[in-house]
Amino acid sequence: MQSVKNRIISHTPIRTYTDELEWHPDKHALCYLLELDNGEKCGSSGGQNNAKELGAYGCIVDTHNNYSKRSESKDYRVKWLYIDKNKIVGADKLKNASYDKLVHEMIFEYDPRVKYFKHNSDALAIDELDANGDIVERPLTYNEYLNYLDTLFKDSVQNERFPLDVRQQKMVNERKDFLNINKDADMIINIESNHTRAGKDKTNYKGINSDTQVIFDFSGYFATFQITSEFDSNVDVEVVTRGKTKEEILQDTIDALVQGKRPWLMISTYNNEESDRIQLLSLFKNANIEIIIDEVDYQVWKQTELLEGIVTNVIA
Amino acid sequence: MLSLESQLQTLLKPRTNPPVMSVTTGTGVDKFVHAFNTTGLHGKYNIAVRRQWHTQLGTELLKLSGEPSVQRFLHSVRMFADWNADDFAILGKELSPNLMNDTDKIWMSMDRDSITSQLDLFFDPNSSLYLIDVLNGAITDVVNKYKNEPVGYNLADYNDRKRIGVWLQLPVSDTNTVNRLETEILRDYFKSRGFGLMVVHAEELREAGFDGKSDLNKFINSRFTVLDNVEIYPNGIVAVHPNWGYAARSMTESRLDVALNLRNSVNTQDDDRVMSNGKTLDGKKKLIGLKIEAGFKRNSADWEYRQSEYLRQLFNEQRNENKETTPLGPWLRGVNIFKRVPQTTPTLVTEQELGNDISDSDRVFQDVITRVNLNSTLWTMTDILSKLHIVRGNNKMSKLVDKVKKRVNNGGPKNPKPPLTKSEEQKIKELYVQILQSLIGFTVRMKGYAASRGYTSIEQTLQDIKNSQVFETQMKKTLGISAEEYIMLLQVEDGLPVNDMDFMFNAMIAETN
Repeated sequence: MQSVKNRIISHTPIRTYTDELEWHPDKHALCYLLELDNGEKCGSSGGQNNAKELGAYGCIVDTHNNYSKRSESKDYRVKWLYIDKNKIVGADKLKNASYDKLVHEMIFEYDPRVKYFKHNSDALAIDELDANGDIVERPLTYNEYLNYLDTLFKDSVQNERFPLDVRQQKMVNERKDFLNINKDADMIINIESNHTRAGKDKTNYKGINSDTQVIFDFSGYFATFQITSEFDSNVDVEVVTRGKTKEEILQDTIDALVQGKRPWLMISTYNNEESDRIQLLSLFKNANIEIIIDEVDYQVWKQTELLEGIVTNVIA
Repeated sequence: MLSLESQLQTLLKPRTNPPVMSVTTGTGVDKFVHAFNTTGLHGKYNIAVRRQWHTQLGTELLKLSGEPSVQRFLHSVRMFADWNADDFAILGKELSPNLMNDTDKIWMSMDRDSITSQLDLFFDPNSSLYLIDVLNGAITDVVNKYKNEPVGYNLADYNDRKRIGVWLQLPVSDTNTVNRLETEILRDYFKSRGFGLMVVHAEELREAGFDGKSDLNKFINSRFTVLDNVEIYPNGIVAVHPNWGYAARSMTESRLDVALNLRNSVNTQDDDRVMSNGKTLDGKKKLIGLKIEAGFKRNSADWEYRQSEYLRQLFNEQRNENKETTPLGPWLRGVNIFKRVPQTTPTLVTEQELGNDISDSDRVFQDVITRVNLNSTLWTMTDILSKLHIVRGNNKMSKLVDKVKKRVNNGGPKNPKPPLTKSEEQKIKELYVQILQSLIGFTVRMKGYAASRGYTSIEQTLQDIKNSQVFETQMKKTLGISAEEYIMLLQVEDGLPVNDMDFMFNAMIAETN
């Protein structure tokens, strides 16, 4: 049995959503469910951080059968959770073992009434109607939490995906044909007007040329990176850039390339052509790269200097 | 140890393709193209540009042909609903004459009787505009219309809707006013009508523990799920929201069936909230997204103009997707417009009526010149307008434009400006006709240029003309302004009637072909 630093987790109640009862760090996510004063907290651990965190709440080594210990004036209850990583949506793209965030997202997706608790964002809450038909918020209970986990992880959760429809396929084909007949151009620009719910993410994803090594997605300034739901985890790696230094972004990009995968640099902050995110492009002047911009009707894309910055940085 | 930059370079394979940039959106792509053309990058580099349009109507037509991969798409159905005092009288209501046909005033009055009277038109089961009946009627008519198409719609799958989702677009911009309306009027009103109510705006999202605009979709999904209680709210759910900044954020809530627009303006993204297919509140299949425009200001047959304008806009879009589109072409069978005149139930406009409407080009110009917006910021663009070559002398033109500029009410309701006198108003209307005659008149000279290059809008053509010194010089000489300045005028929101101008332009191009 694996131990998590100083904690012998074999003494704690464990709920498993795995094919095996033992915890294997390469295959299983390790999470915990902790009772707080105002709700339940689902945390996750790749190592020692959880122990520190639990310690901070007064839950230290325990030998009781039900793993409950009095600390100050409060009884805390902890349950460990082993979950197959392949059952957690997005776990393959995760770098810092914060599986709880992904588990939360899955619960939100499964039951949209659930959200982070307004009074304690570590915990989850649920909106309900009172007898008068008005919406009221209350923290999620321990058992409700476990019910959600049971529902979500007994079987793998898969989003339903539609294949490309004929229009999307035509658009993807045209992009490829256009590239092939314009190989000698300095740059190719595909401009596509499409209607609501037409599946732009799908065409943007499938329209990427097989030779392309790195993708810059600038859609995050106003739009969100919904395209990630199309990703094939064997091929694509999302490189989040928000709040990261240039060095951190480069390191993540290198890590993805070393694995032989396609890094997608998700750019969400660029005020002008001087932005270090725009400057990053110049490092890829000699590689096959593609740029995606969804929702270009936002004001920011009317800045001619910004467009010049992008083009001059990518053209060799 | 190699630097990160050097490590990166060792991992990158040599470039074998030019860099590719793919930009996507709805109709707003033109703004990007305009900005890109302004950069002058085309002259500096060899940039290959591919443009591609896919319209909602194009997809619907493909669906009607039986193409299996697009069967999940809904039909976009538009309704233009007008009413008068008799409609209120039938419901035992009365609306003061100065509020009739001015939805903005009704809502800004904060008068309970006026607001609930207007809502009763759509939420009182005795009204011929009761939304559940209207939706069922529209579904029935659309299924019947397409009964001979190879799509095999079964009416029973879609019809007999009992609980519906409504996206109610209020003409109010201020969130405090919306909150007051919610607590003082709307919550009780909708409860009494059997509808759950949610209010959607930035503060409401944050108050409910969501992150802001990126969580808009989650918030709507959450609220719909919470309010989905058939015992408490047997008729469905209404989402009301102000005219707000999140209108351009996409969302995918399929339980919205009807968008009821009580505003006098349309935001394309916000307008399409009902177009997601998926589960409904009562478990029926979804066939259409119904969008009702009912926020008219003027007092005579406004729906008629809106209908024509919408039809012309669809035609312009279809021309983008397929240059062979002609006004009376097969695309018309995919258009679903309902009109509702006072005291009647809405009816589906026939293909023949639509054809008559769109082929009447004299009416287009009449429509255009009678719809001047005296409050548009167009009138603040004195420097461009005064250069236009029109029949009047330039001095007079400048004076008149200056006068309008001083009175344009774009300082907002807190800073109202004195209204124009009747005589000034008349002069401005005459001036407007001359401006349009001048601008539209010049498009006659552009039609050959556009036809030879496959352009379908005035703006696209002007963007190209900017790069042609010969044509640009000719334009300045004839029209008085440059292509860039013409584009600036076209881009003024709620200024020139761009859809109608493009329609006339396309009609001219079609003649050339």
